[in-house]
Amino acid sequence: MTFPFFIQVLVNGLMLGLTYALIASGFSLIYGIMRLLNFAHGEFYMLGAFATYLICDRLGLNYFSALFLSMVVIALLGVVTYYLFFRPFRDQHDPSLVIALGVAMLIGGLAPLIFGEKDQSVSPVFPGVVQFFGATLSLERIFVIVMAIILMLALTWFIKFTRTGQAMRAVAQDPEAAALQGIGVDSTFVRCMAISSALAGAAGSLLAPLFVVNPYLGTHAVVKALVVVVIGGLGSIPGAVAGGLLLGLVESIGNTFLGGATEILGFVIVMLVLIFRPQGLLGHD
Amino acid sequence: MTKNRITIFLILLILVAFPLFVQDPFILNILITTGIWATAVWGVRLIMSTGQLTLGHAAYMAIGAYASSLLVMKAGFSFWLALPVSGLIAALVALLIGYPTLRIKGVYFAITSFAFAEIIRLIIMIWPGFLGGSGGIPGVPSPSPIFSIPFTGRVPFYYLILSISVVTYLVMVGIERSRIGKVFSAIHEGDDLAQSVGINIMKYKVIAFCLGCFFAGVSGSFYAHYFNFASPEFFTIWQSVYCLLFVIVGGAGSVYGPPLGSFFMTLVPEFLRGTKEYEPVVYAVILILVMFLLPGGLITLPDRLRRKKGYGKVDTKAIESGT
Repeated sequence: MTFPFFIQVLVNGLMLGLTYALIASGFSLIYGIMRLLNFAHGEFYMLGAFATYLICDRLGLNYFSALFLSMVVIALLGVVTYYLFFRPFRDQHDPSLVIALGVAMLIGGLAPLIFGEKDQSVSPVFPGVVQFFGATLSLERIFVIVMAIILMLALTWFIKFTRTGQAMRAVAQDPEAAALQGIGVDSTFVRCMAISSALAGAAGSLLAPLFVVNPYLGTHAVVKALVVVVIGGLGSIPGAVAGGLLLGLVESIGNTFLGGATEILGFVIVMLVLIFRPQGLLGHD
Repeated sequence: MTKNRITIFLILLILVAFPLFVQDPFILNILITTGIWATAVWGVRLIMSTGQLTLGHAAYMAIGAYASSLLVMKAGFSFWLALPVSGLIAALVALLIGYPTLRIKGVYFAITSFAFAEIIRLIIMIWPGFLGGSGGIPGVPSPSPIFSIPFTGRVPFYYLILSISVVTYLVMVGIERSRIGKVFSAIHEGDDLAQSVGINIMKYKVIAFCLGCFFAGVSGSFYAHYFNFASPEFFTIWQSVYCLLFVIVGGAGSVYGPPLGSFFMTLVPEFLRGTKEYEPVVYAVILILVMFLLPGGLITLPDRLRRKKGYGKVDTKAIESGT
């Protein structure tokens, strides 16, 4: 493997890994705070991509307003989903998982009927390439990397330093004790759903110009999110970042050597993690 | 109890006599499909009875289907031997997977089963030489004649899957009444408590998982030889989700929930013929409605209606006092 080629693989892996981290951190946030495996999370990602496509293509707005609007729309959708479907099953473990599967099926089933089954595409925001140590890197990919890092830093800052973030951590530790301190558990859950869904929408929006947009992206995204959170540790956001980066790099390297078999690597890592370190790389019991 | 037994006997009688009066292949196909699902879905309920949620049941159906197809087509097995053997192979894989993953509490088992189902499907897809790749294995032979009954048309298949379902049903009822069934429900109520009275919960979880997957394997084997085709298309994550969904729609609390759920969910898409793309939406809506309106599943519907009509007036006090 030549050095420029190595850089190329590394950048691809970094981009893939950061988008996995972006999808998985929202998923992990919900599990960490609400103890809910939100299978609909992948569908929110898919809808984020479609929202961006529709806003750019049909409304003719520029990409950045599309990115912002997609995040807002998907966040609202997340809140509506919470009130309609998740809230009634809030304290029941298995039923909440099943209702999340139902919501995922509903959105995933409606999407091809509404949007059509065809692949759509969003025109690139930053066409062109840069030369870096002899490797040719597309600006679009670098843009995705930068945006993903900004969003992840913003999320970390939000959870660490804002009052809402503190409330979230308190609810994650012990909802009853948090409620006794005057923290509204319900409103915390709503904010958590909004943030997590906005992140999924942002991920969909960021990847829309790079890949095709179609109604079947959701399942793929939620499978990746599951793989990443198990590797990193369920409920841990640093874990989601670490797991995402690891999976992205492994897949990027795997793609160059294994081709089609790469998809299996993630699941093999999951099985190994579960056998040797069940709490995940950065998780704790 | 006895009234219950008479109902079961009558249903069985009707099912046995059914092809004497109705030979319409379309209707028989619905019943055969119901039987295929019910056999697998009973397995899901068995696994659920130990408090584990499986999201990868279709993988074990796939293992059954492919094992059986390969045993018959490449190793020259008779179908009648391949059927139980493919169930055993599925159970063996379940043992290997279950041992490390059932150890971990909480949702990890659900996630791993989900991940494993994807691995199986991907292995099928990327191994075209042996497993047929995305095209699957076409031309899986129908079962060889038994007692000089040839397997042509739907009727022999109907009786075969009916026998398989009845055997599965008897095993499930047997387990529920035996000591093992009581241990299962003790684990379901709370594993810490069960463990503290000296139950090896790991052992029983693995037993339930392997047995559940055995029936998935048998169901998959029948599936391949009935449709003469084994394809990765059938064994996606969503098929696994359907397995779980059928239990919940039918009713996880009763041994009659899985066949009821399978029948209902096989029947409903038939009303939407030609519009297969609506299936996931319809299934999702049914699931959501059942979870909100009938949390015990369709099997509790008669009870619900009776109580609404006011027959249950005497019982309300008993319910309130908790007896």
